[in-house]
Amino acid sequence: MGEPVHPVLRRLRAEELVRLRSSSDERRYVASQRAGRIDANPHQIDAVIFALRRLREGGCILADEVGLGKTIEAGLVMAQLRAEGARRILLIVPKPLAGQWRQELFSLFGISAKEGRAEAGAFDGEGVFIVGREAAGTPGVSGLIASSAAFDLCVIDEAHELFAGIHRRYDKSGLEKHDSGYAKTAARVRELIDGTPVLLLTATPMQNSLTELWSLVQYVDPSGTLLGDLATFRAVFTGSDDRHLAPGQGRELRRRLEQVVQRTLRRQAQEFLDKPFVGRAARTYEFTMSPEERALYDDVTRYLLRPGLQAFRGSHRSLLLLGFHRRMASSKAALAASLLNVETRLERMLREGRLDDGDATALATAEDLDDEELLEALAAEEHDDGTLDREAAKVELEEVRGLRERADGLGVDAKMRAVIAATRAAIADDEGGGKAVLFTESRKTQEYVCEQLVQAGVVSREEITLFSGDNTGERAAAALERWESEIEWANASEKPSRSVAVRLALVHEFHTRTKVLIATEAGAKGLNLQFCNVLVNVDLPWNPQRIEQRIGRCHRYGQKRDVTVVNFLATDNAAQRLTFEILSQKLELFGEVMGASDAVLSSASGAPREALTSALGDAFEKDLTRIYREARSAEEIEARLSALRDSTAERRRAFEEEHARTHSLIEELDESVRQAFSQIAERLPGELAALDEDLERVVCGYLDVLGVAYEIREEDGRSLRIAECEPFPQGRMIRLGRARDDEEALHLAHPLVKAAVEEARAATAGRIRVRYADAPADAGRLLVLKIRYSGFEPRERLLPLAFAAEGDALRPLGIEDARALLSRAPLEGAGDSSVPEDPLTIDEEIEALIFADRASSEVPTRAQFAVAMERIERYVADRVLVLERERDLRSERAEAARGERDAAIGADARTRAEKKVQRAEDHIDALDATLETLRAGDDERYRRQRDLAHTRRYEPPAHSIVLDIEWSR
Amino acid sequence: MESVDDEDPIVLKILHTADWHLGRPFPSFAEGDRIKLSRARLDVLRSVFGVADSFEVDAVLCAGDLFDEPRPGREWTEGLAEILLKHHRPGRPVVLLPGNHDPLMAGSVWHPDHEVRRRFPESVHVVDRLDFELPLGEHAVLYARPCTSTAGQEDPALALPARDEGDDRIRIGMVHGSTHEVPDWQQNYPLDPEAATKRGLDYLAIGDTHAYRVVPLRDGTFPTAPTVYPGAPEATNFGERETGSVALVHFRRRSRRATIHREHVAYWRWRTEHLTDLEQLRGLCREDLGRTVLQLDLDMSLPPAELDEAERLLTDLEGNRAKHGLAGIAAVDRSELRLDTQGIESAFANLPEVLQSAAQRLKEAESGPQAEIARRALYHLYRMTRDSERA
Repeated sequence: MGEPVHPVLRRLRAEELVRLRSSSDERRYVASQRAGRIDANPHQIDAVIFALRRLREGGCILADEVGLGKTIEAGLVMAQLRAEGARRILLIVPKPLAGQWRQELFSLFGISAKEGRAEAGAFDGEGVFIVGREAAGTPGVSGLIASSAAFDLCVIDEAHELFAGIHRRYDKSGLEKHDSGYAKTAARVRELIDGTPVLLLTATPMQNSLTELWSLVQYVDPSGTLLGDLATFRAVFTGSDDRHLAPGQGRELRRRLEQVVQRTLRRQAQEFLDKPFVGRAARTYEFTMSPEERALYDDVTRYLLRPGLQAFRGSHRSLLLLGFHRRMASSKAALAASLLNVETRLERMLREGRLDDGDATALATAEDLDDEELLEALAAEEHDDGTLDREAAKVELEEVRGLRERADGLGVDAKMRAVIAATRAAIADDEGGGKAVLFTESRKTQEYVCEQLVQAGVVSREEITLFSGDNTGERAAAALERWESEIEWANASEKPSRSVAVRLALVHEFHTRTKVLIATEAGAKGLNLQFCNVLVNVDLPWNPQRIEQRIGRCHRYGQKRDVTVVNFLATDNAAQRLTFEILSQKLELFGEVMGASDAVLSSASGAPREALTSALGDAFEKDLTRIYREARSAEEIEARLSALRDSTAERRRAFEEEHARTHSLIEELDESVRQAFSQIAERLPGELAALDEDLERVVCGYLDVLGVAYEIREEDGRSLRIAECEPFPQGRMIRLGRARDDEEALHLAHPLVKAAVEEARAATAGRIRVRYADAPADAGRLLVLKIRYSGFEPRERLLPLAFAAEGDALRPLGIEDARALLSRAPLEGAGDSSVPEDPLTIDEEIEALIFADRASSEVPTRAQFAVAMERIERYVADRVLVLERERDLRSERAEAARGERDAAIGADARTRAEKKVQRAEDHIDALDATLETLRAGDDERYRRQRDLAHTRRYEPPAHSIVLDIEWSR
Repeated sequence: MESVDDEDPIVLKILHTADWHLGRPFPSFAEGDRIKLSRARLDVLRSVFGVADSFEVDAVLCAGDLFDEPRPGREWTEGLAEILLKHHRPGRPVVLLPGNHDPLMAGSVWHPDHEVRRRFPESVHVVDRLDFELPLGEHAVLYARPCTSTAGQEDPALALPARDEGDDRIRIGMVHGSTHEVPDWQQNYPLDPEAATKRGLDYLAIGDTHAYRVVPLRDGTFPTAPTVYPGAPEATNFGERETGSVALVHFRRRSRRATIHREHVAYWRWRTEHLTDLEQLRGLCREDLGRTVLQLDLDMSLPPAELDEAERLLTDLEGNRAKHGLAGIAAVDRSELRLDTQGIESAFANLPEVLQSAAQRLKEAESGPQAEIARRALYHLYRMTRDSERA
């Protein structure tokens, strides 16, 4: 605690701290970093600068490769805008990622996002609203959002999934297909964000077609001039088809995309990371089934492949059949449960004498697989209105019952023994941290694995955390309670929802107490488990993207050790071996067998693994599904899997070729990226320290005024300890600098900082009178002006003006005098010299000051104006180019038509030919008229955008007086 | 706290511009480029007036040659009228001065009877009389004198009235003419560099030269009262330097001293390059030339493969119906881009014998009296074979 600082100094410091800065001002980007509990990396800060600069013009696409923290980039932008006064932010995410987003926003930025539901008022008021993108595209929710107040920012995650699939939304001529479901969803989302700055997040802004890029750009370039309309874009930039770039147009397209797309590759970020990307190594445990197991699996497989099974007739046939296959591959326990399911269903059918609606069985399967998407798919399943073949059902029931009994009668199976061995090895490895996360698709398997690990003495039950979609139960409740008591959350006003809190609590439990986490598919989404480096795939999902998601939980930014991915493979199961071969060799999902670093994966294999799985994953899953649905023998399955292996290799080759050709369009040159990152990395520590110092000064100044006791502690960094007192009944401990997970940090939007600023403003409102020792005259005025530049990017500057009183006028003093006065603390008490009013001189001085300031301050605005004007001119040039080509073509046709006319014999023929000529000429005239309009600068969009650019460029700055001081000696 | 230059109080702000040359044709360029360049002359006025609006100047002074000819097409007169209307600010005069390209004469655009005069807003003043005088608020006055023919011999600045005793207003003059004294060269509307001082002016706003220039006295020094060419806001030709701006002039209350700030407004950058080797051309193509009007002379002799590359680069620069050029506008002179025929035989090695022998004969003819023709023929033969190979 210290003596209160003079209000003038408090005000100055406060205004300097909170004034709006330009995106490239170091202080602005470090401020956003302090709002989060993170050490942002240069590439993330570079993205934040880019995004903040683009907001006024519509937004941008953040397209870093997977694993570089786009969530952090978006969070930094959101936090910064909130600190600067943004009140409402809309976040549209794929539904399965909503939980992860809420959790990360809370744990990294202390932002408690509100869940946007289809309820009246759900989107009203202030805050960050998070909504599943499917819901956002429905009339109900989009209507609710549209009728609520405007948003300051809209963030759309995995934006390519929503907007890139152009062929689903536009026909060949480039017109929107208004009746397609995709078009409707995209159109509704587009309406929602109309006029709102947008951040689109995607690691794969382009997979197959250049039009995907076009489509994304439409959402961040409301001017519509960067790439023009779809038809023009195609004509100018695509070649033989949408997948190919028109020859020689790469550089031009790249120049344009650079304006709205920011993309960093792993290899570019790598050298600037505190914790560089680690490698990924695969370890495969092979096991051999006992003869009994083998026989059971073969018999079940044969049963499943038989056509006309009664158990899989009725509704949900595919789902049941495929769910069966998946669970069978998961574990013996899951197989037994599946068999029991089928047994129960057949019994019910026989009892009721008709085909079962299958809902109960299907639901049980979907629930066991803990799969939301599967549950959603139930509604869309085909129905079978046929009649039950009772005799066949009876025979089948007996067969299934027999199989089930055999399954129940098996002891611990070979695979489970391998799982036990793998887990034991993982947690015994001290270097690996002594932890392992096990993933399974089936809850039954989850229980079984848990039970067997305990029975085998690998771990005790207390050393296991179970994680599933709903996380109910006593253990979860206890974890939550412990988490709440152990973690002091920074911002009491922002509490996470229960579902977010339970997820965080279970991860906390695993981090601090248990050795093994057994998670179902639901757990794979969004957990941050970078403290664990052994990942065990008890079973493998059919979609490689899901496998990648699982691995990504551990193999992510922040992981310090190489990640080991453990898989299990039956030595005598050809189908399983083939599938595994595709995943491990053709898609390289599990990394190098010897654990070589994959930090530079993108340069090694031509395309990043994530892009590859994203591009090929769905097709692979569909193919697998088709094989298991259609095949009628184990041999057929094997043959078709062999073919799939070959076709996957071929698809991968094609994808990589495509990737190599097109992705240079959105990737910056390494050297320029390096320079930018180096500069940021160099300046960051100093700027952060300066910010922390200023924040501390402002807050401590405020606490001094309040008379609150506090102390600065230097323990493992700097902290502010506020004693228990009236405004802070429990006292406070605030980190001055980077906060750790459970700490509260000081940042621009912190309530204490806001209160300090308000107090300083209130204490210096109106004209205040002070005394200065060593003043340059007996008396005078001292003003601090805040000049606000708008235009392309709003920013504020503070400038001082000083005057000496001379008779009944004011004499301007130099800027150094003004600075010198402001730098010192005024003396106690007000002087008695009178200071004349001289508004004319003051006005003139203010004008001169602003005039001089503009020369230097408007440099960035000039550059942005130049870019905007060139963009608009190129928009016209594109259209002219296309029309000129069309005109050439029409001229040729007209010439041919004239030839026909001249050669025509007979009046009718001549008349017909003449009409043809006339039509051709009319067409040319129409083209000429459009060309003339364009060339004359009379195109409406051109004019509108040109005027807008001029308005932004030449918007005069506004100013206000933030400090008005009458001083004397 | 931010840093800023120290300034004295300001009492008057003007924007000074000249030499718009609206309607100027650019006959040496391709049709599309001609239109772009002509249109740019009108478009830049949006920026000129944007600066005026933004700085909230008290007057806009336009010092002659605003049109390229005395009777410009409607497109340009109407275009100007539209911009003036859009940027009309009551109480802020915009003063238009006839120059030697667009002198005040019967039938000219500035004549009071010209239809466009009726379209101008009331804040626009045309200097259509010899004794033009316009008060600029309480503290300042403008004197201006138009050109009345394309060539005049009198000094219009010296024809402005001198300062009366006791007149402490800021006195600004505006005329159009040349301060360059070239011996034995007839000057149109010659201007005495000391005219501002002689007539007691605080600022002499002039137009004619397309480069921004503060005119020195004959002894090379600069007087307190500056005489300024703001230059053309868009260049009109290659080789012009210091174009593309306007002058923002602020006057102090006490000293009446003018402070000049040059503000860039041009869209296009005009640039001439004379390249003598391929590496220079490669380097040029790596630059950002989107807003450049490029005049490129090539003077180089290249072996076949490099010549092909040069041709490709030139197509990249110029653009065609298939793609945009790297340069905003390019005018390329290829006449001195030659084929280096040394070792050219190898380029024909795999071709039919008839072509090989034709190439051989032309190669031999290079040392004869028709060397140049032979070299060109050889070049064309080479190109034809390359094109057909590609096809």
